[in-house]
Amino acid sequence: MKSIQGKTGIGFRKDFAEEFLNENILQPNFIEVAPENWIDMGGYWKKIFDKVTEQYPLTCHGLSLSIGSPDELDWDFLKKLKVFLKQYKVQIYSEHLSYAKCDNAHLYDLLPIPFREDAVKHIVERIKTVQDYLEQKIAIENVSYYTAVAAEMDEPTFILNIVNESDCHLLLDVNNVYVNAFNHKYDAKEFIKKLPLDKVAYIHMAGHLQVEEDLIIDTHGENIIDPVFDLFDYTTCLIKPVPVLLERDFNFPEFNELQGELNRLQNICNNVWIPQHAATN
Amino acid sequence: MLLQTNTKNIQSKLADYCRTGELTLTTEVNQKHVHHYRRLVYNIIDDMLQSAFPIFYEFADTEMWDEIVNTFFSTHACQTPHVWKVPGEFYQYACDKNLKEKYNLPFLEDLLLFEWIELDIHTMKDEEFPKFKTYGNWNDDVLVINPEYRILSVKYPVHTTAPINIKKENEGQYFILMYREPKKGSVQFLDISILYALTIEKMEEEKSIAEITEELQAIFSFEDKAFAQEHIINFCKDLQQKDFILGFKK
Repeated sequence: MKSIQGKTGIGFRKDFAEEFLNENILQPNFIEVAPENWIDMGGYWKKIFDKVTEQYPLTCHGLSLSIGSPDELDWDFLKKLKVFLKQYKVQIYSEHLSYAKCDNAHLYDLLPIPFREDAVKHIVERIKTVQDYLEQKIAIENVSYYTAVAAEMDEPTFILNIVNESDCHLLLDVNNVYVNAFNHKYDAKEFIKKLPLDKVAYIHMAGHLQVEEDLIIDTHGENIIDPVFDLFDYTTCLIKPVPVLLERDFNFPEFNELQGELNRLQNICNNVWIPQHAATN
Repeated sequence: MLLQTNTKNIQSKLADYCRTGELTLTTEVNQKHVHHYRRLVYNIIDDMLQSAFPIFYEFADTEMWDEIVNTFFSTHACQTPHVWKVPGEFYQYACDKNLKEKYNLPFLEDLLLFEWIELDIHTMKDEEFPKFKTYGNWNDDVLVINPEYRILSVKYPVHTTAPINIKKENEGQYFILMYREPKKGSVQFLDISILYALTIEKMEEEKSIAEITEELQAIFSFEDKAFAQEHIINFCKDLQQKDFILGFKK
């Protein structure tokens, strides 16, 4: 299997699927999809999916596992997920440190979990259960949030405890750190230093939108801004080489522009990680 | 359960707010910014339903649409982990809550069914296609049909007439053959008669046209059975051209 460590990939979206397959402008090293959008899918889209996954290594970033939910885990979904991950030789399966289902109702978006000790214990148990069932480690992503919810501890402690106690990987979303640092008025670099950086297995990068004087929304609909590139550069110096994903969910620019963002990310990776790798060998 | 009741209740109240827009949390959240969660969650559902039911969305005025979507999301607990399958739950909800009566739109269930099934067939899991030969005897061989299809029975001509033009007097019995075109994966639909709907149903039972005509004779009392059989064969030949009938059983 082709290694994607230290390489850049892109979120594969139906909006640009045909153009992506027919043109060679956008050339990621791997692609990422939300498994919920492809499990049980047949017909035209399955043909497209099979075609693209023959050409590119695949990672998956889930939306519906709802690891922070008070509800029971959805075993029917997990069974299908396990088959899907094996069938498509998925290299990384990640999910959000949030909840998307509550009181037996799906919400299809990521709600913030109270940063509390009982929530840590609850989530740790669920991550362990999922990892045991899937027979692989999963990566958990730090999410952006627009209000803290009845927090009794700070966010890095919450993340650190969950990742360490469940022995899962961390998907470090650098844009989310930037967004949260702005929204909740903390120092992004200090925040990153407090995370379990030895557990980082994957990085996400994206654009965002400032909607109020004191609020940024993590839209994935804009280009990455320079301060987020700078934060990414800073982060790469602190961790070993991992795959880096560019997330773009709508308001798609021309492929040349997306490739430009991928190139800029890859250059940062190469500048930091290739010399680092050479020094350790 | 390691989660304490208080934490669970807070999570439940936030989720409930996202579904209903009624905020019962106070100091637990940032009152200035929490509304973005309701907005973001609601927009996902609204966008999904708009794209799944474009004809009904175009027909409904904004007030009606918003009321239906809001009530659906507030009161119905979405069960599927796949957001693209929510329209199927929406259709079922509209039937269960008898929205056609509430909004005095007798054709509503038929229209939502038509739009949902088009989407459902487009995305449904691939069926295994049976083996077939290209040439055979139209009278006596069993015809092989495309397994990725549905026949809808509706009371209003939602597949041929814009909703604004559908009147009470259009009420009748209409059959729509909907299937996924094997090569391109696009969904085709055909208005068919009850005779043809029954013919396709009997083809599914692996009966030849001769056998089917014989059975349909009991229902339709054809005056000229040979002519009826030829008529059915012509229909089947057309369906072969349209990639619904694949060929003849090996």
